[in-house]
Amino acid sequence: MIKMEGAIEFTEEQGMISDSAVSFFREQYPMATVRQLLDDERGYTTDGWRSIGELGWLGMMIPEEFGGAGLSAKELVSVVEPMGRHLVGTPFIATTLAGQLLLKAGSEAQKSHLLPKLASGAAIGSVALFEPHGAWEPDQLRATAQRSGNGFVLSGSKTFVLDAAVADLLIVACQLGGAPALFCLSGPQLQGRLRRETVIDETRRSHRLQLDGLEVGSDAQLTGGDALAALKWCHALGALLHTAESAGGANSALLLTVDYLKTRKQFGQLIGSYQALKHPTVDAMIAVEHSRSHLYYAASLFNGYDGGESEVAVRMAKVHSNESFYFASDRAIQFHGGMGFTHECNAGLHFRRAQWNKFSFGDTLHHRRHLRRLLMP
Amino acid sequence: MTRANVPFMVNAIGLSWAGPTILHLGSEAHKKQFIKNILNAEEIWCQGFSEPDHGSDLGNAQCRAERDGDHFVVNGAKIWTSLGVYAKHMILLARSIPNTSSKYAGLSFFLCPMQTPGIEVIPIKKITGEYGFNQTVFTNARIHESTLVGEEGKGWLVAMAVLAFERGAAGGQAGGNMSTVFSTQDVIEMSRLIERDGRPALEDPLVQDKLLNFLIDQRSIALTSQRARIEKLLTPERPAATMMMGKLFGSEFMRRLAYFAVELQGGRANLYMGDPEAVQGGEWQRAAMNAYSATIGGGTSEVQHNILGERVLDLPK
Repeated sequence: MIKMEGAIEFTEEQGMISDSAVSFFREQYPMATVRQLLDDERGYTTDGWRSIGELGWLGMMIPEEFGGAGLSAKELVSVVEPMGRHLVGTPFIATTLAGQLLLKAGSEAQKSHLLPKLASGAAIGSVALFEPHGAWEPDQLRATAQRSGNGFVLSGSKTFVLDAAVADLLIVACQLGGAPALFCLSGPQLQGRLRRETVIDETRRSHRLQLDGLEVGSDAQLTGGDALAALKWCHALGALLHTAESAGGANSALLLTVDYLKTRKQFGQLIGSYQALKHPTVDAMIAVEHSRSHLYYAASLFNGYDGGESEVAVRMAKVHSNESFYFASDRAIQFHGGMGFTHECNAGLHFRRAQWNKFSFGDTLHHRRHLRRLLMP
Repeated sequence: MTRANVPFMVNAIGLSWAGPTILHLGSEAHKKQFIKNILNAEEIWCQGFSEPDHGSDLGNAQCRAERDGDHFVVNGAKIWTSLGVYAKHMILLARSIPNTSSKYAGLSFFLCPMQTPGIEVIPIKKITGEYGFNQTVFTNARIHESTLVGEEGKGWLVAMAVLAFERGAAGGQAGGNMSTVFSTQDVIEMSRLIERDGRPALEDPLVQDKLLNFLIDQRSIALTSQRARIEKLLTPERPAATMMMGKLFGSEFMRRLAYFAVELQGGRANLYMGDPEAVQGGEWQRAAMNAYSATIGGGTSEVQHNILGERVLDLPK
């Protein structure tokens, strides 16, 4: 297990998608726009969302028969890394993950009804996975579903439900008879059950969802596949996508620092000439480069995600990006001196994003514990 | 070869540095005279770049090569000349024109015959207690002008080309007797055999956690060299980064790993090579000390930080 069994793969198609994503997000998300959206209730614009849908990126990992592009995680991370570079906050990750839960666990009818809408961006999706007790494991669910008449009654609560306020459909994970089960809720069913959370990353829209007494029909349950397997896939993909964002974000934090070191003078010299700043900046660069290597390796192996080498790759990539994005943004603040302490300085936006990502879909300790199990049995 | 513990290649400098330099920049006569005997290891080569007073600051070399008719008279000293006691030839960087406006001007590059009268090779004992390096002292050593590579006074350009060959190879490998190449896997194997508090060290969660760091770093190195070969996956702002940072991170990684292997030995960590009870023959202790040859040789880690900062991130000098 310790020996790497796979290799980084790269396709021409991936290159083209990457090129267009890099220039799209660079043009559409200058920092002024990102900052404007911090105060926007939804955190994105309708036009921006429509464009992302038209480019086909929402359906990247959805098969062609359901309106998607039938591509792999490699292509997907090539879009999400530049999103991370520009601190893009849209329901992209939420919608992508909802699509994957549907794909892995939905019935044929559920898939053909809902996946094309998610793939085109016509519908916004989200997933309710995490709970206030804070466990990261996909099967540690305290929210429950009880059979009642022709359907189910749900209870419990969910936290960090991304973009729930704008979601047209939301997949929620609950215990049903001692095993995880998945239910698809519609936007109107969420009415009065959401509270927007005040979170560290101001580009995100995250919600608490109160499930107590929510009645759903029997057709709400996803019945086409093993719910636990689907949840594991979804958690792993969530970790991979946050890793991709972090790799992009860490690079931006580094570039911000480098820019400042080349323009700011103190004691009569550009501060970048001081080794006390130069050397740690180089260390941040090395960390960013390594993170990108782990990311593209994990993405290359992801489509065969089976709990072996692919699991090692994702968890290691997540651990690496957790720490390197934190380090790059932490140094960005410190090396901007007094400016770095202000909300006006973009270093802080990256720092907050680094923290959000670090504690989304498994923090460092969680993944390290698994890596210990996987690598040193 | 390193996997099979093949010893340090005896003509490493001839094959990796002198040979390519002669092929790229040498005269036809040089090629005829030297290449064959480099390839069949008939003639061993050594390198005369660093000086006792000028380690990382190569351009500041002070060893003199003063023209006298069709000869140059060499005076001064070179240090860290691995293989110097066996070598037939040295690639030598020496100052033929003093007091130039730039320190880089005035240097010349020679293929210096080591059997020249006035050249003395003095072995240096390393921190490991072994021999591997030498100091080479020149006292009025006369070498013919035909040994010049490139033009007189333009030796810096040749030296830079040589350094490019050196950084392409693993940095510091000429540091002498780095015959033990090891990985985290070897340390994991060792930690199965070492007892700490009555249990194999590998069963200690604190040990496992530290080993995990090394496994992650080791993969960072391997995966980054994979990614370096995929042009579209290079970071657009600094495509050279993946190639240029390997020496710094890799050599520091090896130093940390070897020392961790020593730390794991706890109560037996102080036994060294030669003691029958030393863990795995004391090889880890030796490796931990030898590891500095790579973090210092071929440009110290501190200089590597400057190089990466200035050439890759474009930070001011």
